[in-house]
Amino acid sequence: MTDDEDVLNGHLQELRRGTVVVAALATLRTPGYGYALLETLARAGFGVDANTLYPLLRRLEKQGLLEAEWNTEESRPRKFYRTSPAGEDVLAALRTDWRSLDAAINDLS
Amino acid sequence: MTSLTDRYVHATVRGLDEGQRPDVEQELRGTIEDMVDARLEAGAPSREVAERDVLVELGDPMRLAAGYSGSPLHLIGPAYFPQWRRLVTLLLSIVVPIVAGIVLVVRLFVEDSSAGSVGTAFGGAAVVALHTAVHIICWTTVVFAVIERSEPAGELGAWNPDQLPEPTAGRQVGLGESVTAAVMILFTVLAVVWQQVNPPVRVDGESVPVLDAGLWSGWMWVLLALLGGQLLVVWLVHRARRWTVALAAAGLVVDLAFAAVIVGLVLADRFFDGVFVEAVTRAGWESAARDLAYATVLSVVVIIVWDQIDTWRRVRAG
Repeated sequence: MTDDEDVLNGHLQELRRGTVVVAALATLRTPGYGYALLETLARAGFGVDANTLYPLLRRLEKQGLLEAEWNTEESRPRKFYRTSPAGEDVLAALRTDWRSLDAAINDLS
Repeated sequence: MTSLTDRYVHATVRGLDEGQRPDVEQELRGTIEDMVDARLEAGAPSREVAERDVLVELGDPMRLAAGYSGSPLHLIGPAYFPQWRRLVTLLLSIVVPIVAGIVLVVRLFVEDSSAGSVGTAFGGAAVVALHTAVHIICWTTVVFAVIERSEPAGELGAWNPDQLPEPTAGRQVGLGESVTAAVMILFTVLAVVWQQVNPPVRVDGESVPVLDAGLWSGWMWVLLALLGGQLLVVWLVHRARRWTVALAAAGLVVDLAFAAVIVGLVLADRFFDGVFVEAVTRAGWESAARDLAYATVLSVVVIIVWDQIDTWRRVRAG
């Protein structure tokens, strides 16, 4: 039984790998910091490892899809990310692609 | 006192660029603290236990750092592996035999030899071959690892069908077999020349060849020419990919001539060196002359017959 589970988990992981980016860009239209995003995604069903999410956020920042700012108001300084205008464009494109993929799969099934 | 967190953060950020470091360090510390707080709220027994669990969850700092910096977690990746492998195989199959062969020849012919040093000659050649192989693999790997990590990543020449290995279908006589036969013939030639030039046997302090030294003024060259003929047959068979009747007949003629010459020389007592036979007889092997003669004739006949049976069977099958 565990073999089947492993196979399923492997494919689920592949599916999640691409969608985490969409979820992050969508969620960060409201500025948020790393750990809060982690919890939000977990609650929404996008279980992601911390050691995957943090490098991903940095990658998106480097690509210009996220803007980052250090918030020093509270006792613990936190880095807040926010979807940039370029990020908004990419998000829209990804969601369009997502919808057409969904339609295509419905047609194929 | 450095805490577990300090050590973890330090281990992660030391693999990163100078520019990235302060930022990542601060964010990572904040993250770890947030995660520890969450675990404490969820009921972890103590801060130390929570801290340890969090670090386990974050995983190997080397992996985390690689995720941040984007550097590959492999020495040679899928982009360059096939080329690396082809190059290493090519170099090993060409350079190592040449180097080993040169060392072997030098040790056998140039240096002082006695019966025991044949072993060391081969041993020395084997050691040199091993060193050469290790160096080839090491430096090729280093070069490719550097290429992999240098930017911009370029194409090392795209694959095209010209690089396909030769077809082995329909080939009755494979490359391995031809090479083995050729190597054995060359070995025989080498052995014959060696026992004359740098003989292993010593009688009364002087080196004595096994085969009659007088042969070198005539018949030995015939024998060597016939060995060369056998080599030619091996090459032609490899070219033709199978044994044909013509090639088998040619091989038969060369083999018979070779056998005839050897048997003739043995029967005329001109094959083995007189001094050598005398020395061996004196050392205790009393019927040496007769035994050597029988043994030689018998082995030549057996080998020829065996070889020919095999060849003509192939001709029938092909």
